[in-house]
Amino acid sequence: MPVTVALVDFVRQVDGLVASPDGYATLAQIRSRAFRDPRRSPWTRAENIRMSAHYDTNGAVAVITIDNGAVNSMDFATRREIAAGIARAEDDAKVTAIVLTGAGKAFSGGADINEFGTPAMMGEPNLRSLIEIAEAATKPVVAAIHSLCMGGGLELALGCHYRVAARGTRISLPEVKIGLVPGAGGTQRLPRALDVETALNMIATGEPVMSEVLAGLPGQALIDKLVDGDVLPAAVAFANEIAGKRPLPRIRDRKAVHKNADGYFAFARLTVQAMAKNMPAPPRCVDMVEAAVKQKFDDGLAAERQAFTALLQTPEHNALRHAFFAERAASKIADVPASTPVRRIAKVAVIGAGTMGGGISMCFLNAGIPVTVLEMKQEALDRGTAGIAKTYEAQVKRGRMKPDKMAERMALLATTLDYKAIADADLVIEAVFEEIGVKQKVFEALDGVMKPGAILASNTSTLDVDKIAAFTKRPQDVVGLHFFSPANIMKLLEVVRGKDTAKDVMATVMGVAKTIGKTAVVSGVCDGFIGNRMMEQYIRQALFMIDEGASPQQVDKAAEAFGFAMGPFRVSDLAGNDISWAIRKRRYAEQPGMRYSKSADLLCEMGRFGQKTGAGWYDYVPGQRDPKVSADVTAMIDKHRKDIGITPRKLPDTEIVQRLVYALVNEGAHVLEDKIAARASDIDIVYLTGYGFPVWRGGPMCYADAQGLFNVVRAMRDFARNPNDDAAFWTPAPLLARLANEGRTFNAITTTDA
Amino acid sequence: MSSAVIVSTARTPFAKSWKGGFNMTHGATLGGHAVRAAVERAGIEPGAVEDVLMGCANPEGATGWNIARQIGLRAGLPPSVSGVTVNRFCSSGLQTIAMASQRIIAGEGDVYVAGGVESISCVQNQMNQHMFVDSWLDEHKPEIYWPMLQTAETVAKRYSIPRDRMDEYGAASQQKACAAQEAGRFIDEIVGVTTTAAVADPALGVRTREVTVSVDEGLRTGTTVDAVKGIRSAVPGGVISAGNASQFSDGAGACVVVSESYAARKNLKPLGRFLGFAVAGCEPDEMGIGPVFAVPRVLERLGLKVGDIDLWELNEAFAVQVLYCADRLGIPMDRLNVDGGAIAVGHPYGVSGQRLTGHALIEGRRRGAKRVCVTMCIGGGMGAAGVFEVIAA
Repeated sequence: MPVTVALVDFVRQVDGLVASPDGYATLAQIRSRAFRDPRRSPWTRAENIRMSAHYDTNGAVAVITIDNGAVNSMDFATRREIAAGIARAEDDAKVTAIVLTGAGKAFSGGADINEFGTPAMMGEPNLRSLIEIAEAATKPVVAAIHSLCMGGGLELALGCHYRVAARGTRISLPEVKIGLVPGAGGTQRLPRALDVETALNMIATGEPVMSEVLAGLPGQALIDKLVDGDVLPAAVAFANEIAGKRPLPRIRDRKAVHKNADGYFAFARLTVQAMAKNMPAPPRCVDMVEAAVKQKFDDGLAAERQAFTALLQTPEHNALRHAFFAERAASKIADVPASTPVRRIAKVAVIGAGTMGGGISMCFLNAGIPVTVLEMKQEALDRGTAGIAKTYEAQVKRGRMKPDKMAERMALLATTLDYKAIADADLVIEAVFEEIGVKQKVFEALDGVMKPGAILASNTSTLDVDKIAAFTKRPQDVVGLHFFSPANIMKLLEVVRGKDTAKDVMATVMGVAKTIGKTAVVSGVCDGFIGNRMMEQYIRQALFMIDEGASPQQVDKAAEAFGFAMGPFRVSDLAGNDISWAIRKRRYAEQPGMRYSKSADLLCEMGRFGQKTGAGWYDYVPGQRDPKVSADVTAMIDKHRKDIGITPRKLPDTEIVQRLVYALVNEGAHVLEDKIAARASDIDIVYLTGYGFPVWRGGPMCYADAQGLFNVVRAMRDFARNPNDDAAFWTPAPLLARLANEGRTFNAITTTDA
Repeated sequence: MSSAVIVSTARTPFAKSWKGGFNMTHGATLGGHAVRAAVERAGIEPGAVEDVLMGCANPEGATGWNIARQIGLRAGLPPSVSGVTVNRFCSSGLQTIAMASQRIIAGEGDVYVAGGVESISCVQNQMNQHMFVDSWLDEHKPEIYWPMLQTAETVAKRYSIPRDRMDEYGAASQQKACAAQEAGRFIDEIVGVTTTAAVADPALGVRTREVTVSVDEGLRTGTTVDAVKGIRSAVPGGVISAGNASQFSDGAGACVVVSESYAARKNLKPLGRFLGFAVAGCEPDEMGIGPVFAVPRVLERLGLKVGDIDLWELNEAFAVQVLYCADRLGIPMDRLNVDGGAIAVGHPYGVSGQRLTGHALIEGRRRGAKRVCVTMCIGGGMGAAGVFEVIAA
């Protein structure tokens, strides 16, 4: 899903922009707390606290340097210090111009997202006031921008009189990615500084554009001077040059014009709506740029303020912001501090050259890490290598990869039939048949040959990682790395921590996940780990509902209307019904008390294994993408209902969605109680990145929070009264019952209790 | 009594609505382009035109404010030339040609421009909905407000026309249109347009750029019956799909209609002669069958039979109604929509009547036909039919 990917990229871009959501206060927060008292001047604060903006003079030019965290986010304290700096420069008769810049690796990454929705966000001077102060200064204010100039950082720069930019600066207004419009004049000033179309695309997609590209646009007023190398001396020289010039140029005085505004904005609105269905912010971005063209500046600002405030209240913004924090939180493990040493991973081995082994291999090849694939038979190796080559060729064909890149990656790939050939690998990942006896053979063999300190990982999706670890004499080096198919595409990686897995192994594999572009979530050992354990309850409900009277297509349609990429039956047909059949057969033996609908077994007995056999819950006609309703399946379901004595009823779509999603929620609560997942937000990330859960709903736990846990529990009580459902399952998990009772939410406990 | 002759035809290519080349082109520009070309091709003095009659099914917004008057000015006609916008939904472009002819026959004037304009891209999503529905009609005749799609589903059900037949017809329309385009049989009516369009560029985002549209955008070469069968129905459980219904499109077209004596005096080269026109109503819930009533009416008045018509253009709003009308009227399929229709070429509602008239005369001349009939169904439950005599070159 492109939106998820974009958000993840966004998270990476501004990593370090905000404080940790674990509840641990950051330096920035401590500083802002220190200066909440408005009577205290930031210029007289205690010496032992670092300032978040410095004031300096260079001849007649005052230089204010934002210096706050990795990307100079503009929290309350920082804003006060910048404002005070401008005031000081205005008061100093020797100063003729002001340069505003950022320390380190950014001009500014923008507002402090931690302040969103808190009083601190609007604490004066808020960002809008600060921009007014800069714009109204009687001495020219020159923004010296470099490296990164995003969001509120760009809005502040737009409020300055001039901008000098270093080549290579990434410039963006990324607010749309967390479901907002820029809120401090960006939507009104950027279209006045650039051409309307470039501004609209930047605002509606949030994507960064390089300074040299923007500086080259005809008629642009965003960048007054583009410089190579160090921007500060160039900006000071520029400030000296223009110090005497009056009137001071203001972007607000310029006009944003478009020859055919109505036609262009109508098309833009249709396009962004189609690209980001269910997202309220992108069309609002179009509205704001249209306001910049059609309204007076101050009216446009007022419209922007209104849109920003309204979007702050939307569940979509809440969900996207939650996903933003959740992604960052997931990479942290409470008892594995950031200082934990990591093992070097320069060589990787993969056992098994099937679909999964091939996908996993590509993850590493893509990151430039050499991989050796091991198989039992040469044919299997050849088939696996050909599969990898085919995937790359398809990418080359579609222009997504250069042919020489493909050659480079294939050159990193080696194959072997001999365990000894992989003995010196730093990380070996097993991706063989999902059967404990097979795993035993592999891990005993690995234990025999692998060098000491090598990490031994299993890609098992359901088996007990502790049992697998016990096949070796080095359980501390064993970990589960559960990739999702297709492994080279899917973002999610469940890292399964065994009872003996060493902390440095955990730290290492979390780092490896980042290297290969995965979103890693730590799971404890249990059947199905986080994702599949919950999914089983979701599928069980889907099947019960079929027994009760829904059709597979009705269930799928309801799930897809809710926002799932695919409904449960289409997913089953895609994944292969025989695979879940095998798991169920095992369950029937292991957990005889668990009730299942027999319809899925009956389907498999008909040989309908899914898309691969052309028939599953649906019929698949070659060359036609849409699944077709199968008369045979309908007849099978009808007969099954008769056999078990159910008179079919019409299930409302709301019941279908609630039973599917709340099944995830209740099992998710058990997963939290059992300490399989460390945080509710980890569960959300698993579902957002691995199971096609709609990103604008923030994941199952976030969705439950938004519905109100009281209401979730109430619905579960209704389901428990249904004689054809599973009353025992619908007894709310104790954690869920407790939170509902106390009027709390899952995700609040992550930030306070974790 | 003078008779009316058509001395020129010109139309823009039909562009796909919303994604196509005319997605931000104003109706006056589209229409002006067609009218200017029609006047030039006719070889008449612009100031000689008495009135510009333009059909439009949604005459508001970008095609509002008496668009015909704007079109006249945009085409470079002097301010002394009047303009009137005419709306009979999908037959508007034929209606204006009939009206121009009738005024000539009545002796009111000698030279008229008649045609149509439609910008579905710029108007349909922005229509004024204020007090759209009359509560009495909504209670007693709600079908008058039905979407056309629903009326087509009704025709399919009521007259038991299977989807397979529609899909076969839909694929054939594409195949015939593609063959006609390949053979250059649309060239004499089309005049290319260079304009500014909005595009979603994968790298640059939502942008405007100059485009030149020179052919109809809806044609899909290589369309097969199987491919059309695989297209999902527009409503769940329905039979109408994008492959067996007309396409949304934007465009404009115009003819110059003059009195026969004027043509002779000015040595103009007529394409055809207007013989007669009729409209007839039917139930709004099955508006697609309108031609079944309009065609017999016009033929009877002219003393003609279906067999006297050598070439038929029956507008392809939906394959289902074309098939039903052809069955009921006994139109031989080898004389019907020989170069495809709106399923392939597109259907800018108010223009289609003009396109079909112009094309029937050009194609009729090529085939040596004597008489052609242009007919279509009309929203609200109506049919229109016009009969023309082909004049050889």
